[in-house]
Amino acid sequence: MTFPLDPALATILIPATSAALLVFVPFYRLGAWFNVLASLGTFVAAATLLVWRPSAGRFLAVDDLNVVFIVLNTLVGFTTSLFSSGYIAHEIETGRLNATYLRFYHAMYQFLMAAMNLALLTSVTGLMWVAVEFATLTTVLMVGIYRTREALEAAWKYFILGSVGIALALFGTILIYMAAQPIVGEGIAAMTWSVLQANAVRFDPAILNIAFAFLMLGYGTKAGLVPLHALLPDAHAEGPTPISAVLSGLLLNVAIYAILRFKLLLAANAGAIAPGPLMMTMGLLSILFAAFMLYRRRDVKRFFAYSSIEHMGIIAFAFGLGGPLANFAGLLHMAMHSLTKSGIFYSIGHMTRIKASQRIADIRGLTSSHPLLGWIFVASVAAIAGLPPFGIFTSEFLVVSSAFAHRPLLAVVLVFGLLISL
Amino acid sequence: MSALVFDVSHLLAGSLVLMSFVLLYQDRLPSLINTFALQSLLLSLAIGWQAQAQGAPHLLVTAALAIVLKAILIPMVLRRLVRSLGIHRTIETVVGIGPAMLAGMALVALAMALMLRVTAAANIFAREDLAFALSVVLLGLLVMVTRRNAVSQVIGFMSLENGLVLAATGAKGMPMVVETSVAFSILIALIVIGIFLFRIRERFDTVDVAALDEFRGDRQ
Repeated sequence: MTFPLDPALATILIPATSAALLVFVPFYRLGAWFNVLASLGTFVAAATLLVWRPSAGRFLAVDDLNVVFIVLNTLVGFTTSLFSSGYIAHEIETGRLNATYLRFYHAMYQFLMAAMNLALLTSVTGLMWVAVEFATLTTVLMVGIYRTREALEAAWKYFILGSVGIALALFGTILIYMAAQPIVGEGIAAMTWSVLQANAVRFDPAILNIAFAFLMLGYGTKAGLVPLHALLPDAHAEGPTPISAVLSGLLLNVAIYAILRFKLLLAANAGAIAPGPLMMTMGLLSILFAAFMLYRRRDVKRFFAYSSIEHMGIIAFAFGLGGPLANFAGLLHMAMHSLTKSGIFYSIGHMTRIKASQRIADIRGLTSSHPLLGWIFVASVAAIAGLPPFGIFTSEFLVVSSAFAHRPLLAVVLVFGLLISL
Repeated sequence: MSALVFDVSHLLAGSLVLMSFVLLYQDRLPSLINTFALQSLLLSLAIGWQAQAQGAPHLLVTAALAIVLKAILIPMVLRRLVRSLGIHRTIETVVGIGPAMLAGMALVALAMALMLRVTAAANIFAREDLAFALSVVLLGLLVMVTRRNAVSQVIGFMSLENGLVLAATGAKGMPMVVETSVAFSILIALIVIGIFLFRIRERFDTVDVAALDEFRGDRQ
């Protein structure tokens, strides 16, 4: 089977070119449809990767790990673009956004997708950093798009904290190169995942340790792990709802993916510190902290931002635990969380439109006035809280059971956190 | 490598650290901006020297970027901004000079102890550069946390970034240095445009909305 275009390249080029084209689309309805079409095209290209995988190129490589991430990423990107086309029509009516901003919004949406897809598919650590950096920039612009005081404040906070985070991540990336350079030689090889992974055994463990500390701090800020979580709740609450869905469902995954890749490097080197305990500690802290924070929220989007922190904690904990079962549980949890959480944000988008408020106290009586929306929301909240029969229950159950198998004491803490957050 | 090549690069990287210390105790914004401009100038010299020593002409792009953007353009914009906001005379001290300097010294000592021990096997060029670079990064962070003004925080961030560029150019033969520095420049340019457009004076460490200036100026 041959394709005229490499699908891996297509998942980056489609959104990138659409972003450039969308700048010139003056009518917002056309822009919205174009946005949906481009996202669909990207998703189709990514889904092709499941059945037909191109051989690793110079900068892009598809393997068993990132193919999961990329398909999930483009799927949620596509569903969000559908939701967003309905959402923005309302924004135009109420005058919160005008046509110029919408043009900008659509272009930025595709640009963000391109940056995230590049971060997931690239085989070069430096390129991944550049992609994450551009994703950060776009997010900042999107969060601040309403130009209210709160939105600007959230954007500024995201900007400063996110920039420091990625700056530290860059230092870690440079250190990884320094560790690799004596072994594999200069040039692009010392930044390629496959080469790094194959040679990680012989790297200097001391440099790897320091590098991982920087990378964990840097990308951990992007993933919103406690104690580096301060930027997430504001950014979720103040931006447009479709962006909250993308932030929560996708961008956090990209950061987790980056941490996971570097964790694999350290795990391959016997002399380096085990990265697992660090990730498990931050994961548990995130779960406990977010679980307690959930009780005092009044803003519904902020509430679910804390819920995202909790779920990122669970994912980091699962990957930190390691082993086939926990890794599978982590991936499953990530997929379930992305799908459920984006669904929740779509419902929230409709609810805040009906009630014209983001306060939890103002949102009530929906099951009688809008039964379909109300019950869907009830079901998805039950799902995100980890009640059976939904997917998150399965993955949380797997995480807990593998935690009991390997680290029983930590599992007690984990279960405590999960129960608090119910 | 000859002793001279090493000495010069050592001198340039060391003076970057020195400039970071000078940044720490500037309590007026114009002098803070000038010091940052000087640090960026030194950075571009250091990069230029590395480009010549490593035989890597593409690094000259990074050096040119540092000089045009960070030594000339951004300081110019910031100076105008500070004057138009009327904060060029204000003195800001959150932490006293003494404690800040002591903390700075402790951070540099930490960076040296950490990097020199860890990178014992690495090329001596890269080793020293990395230790200096980490010092500049940590001092930049210190500037950011000891300041309340948004402009001086941004300067702290940019000096932190100077340290990163130094580290990236010091790592011999590292690919993507130019791409990275371009990406960083876009980031910084946007931050500066951000404060310029929205006239942000204070950092937002509280949810206090009074921290934001009236964002709709005369125009909108």
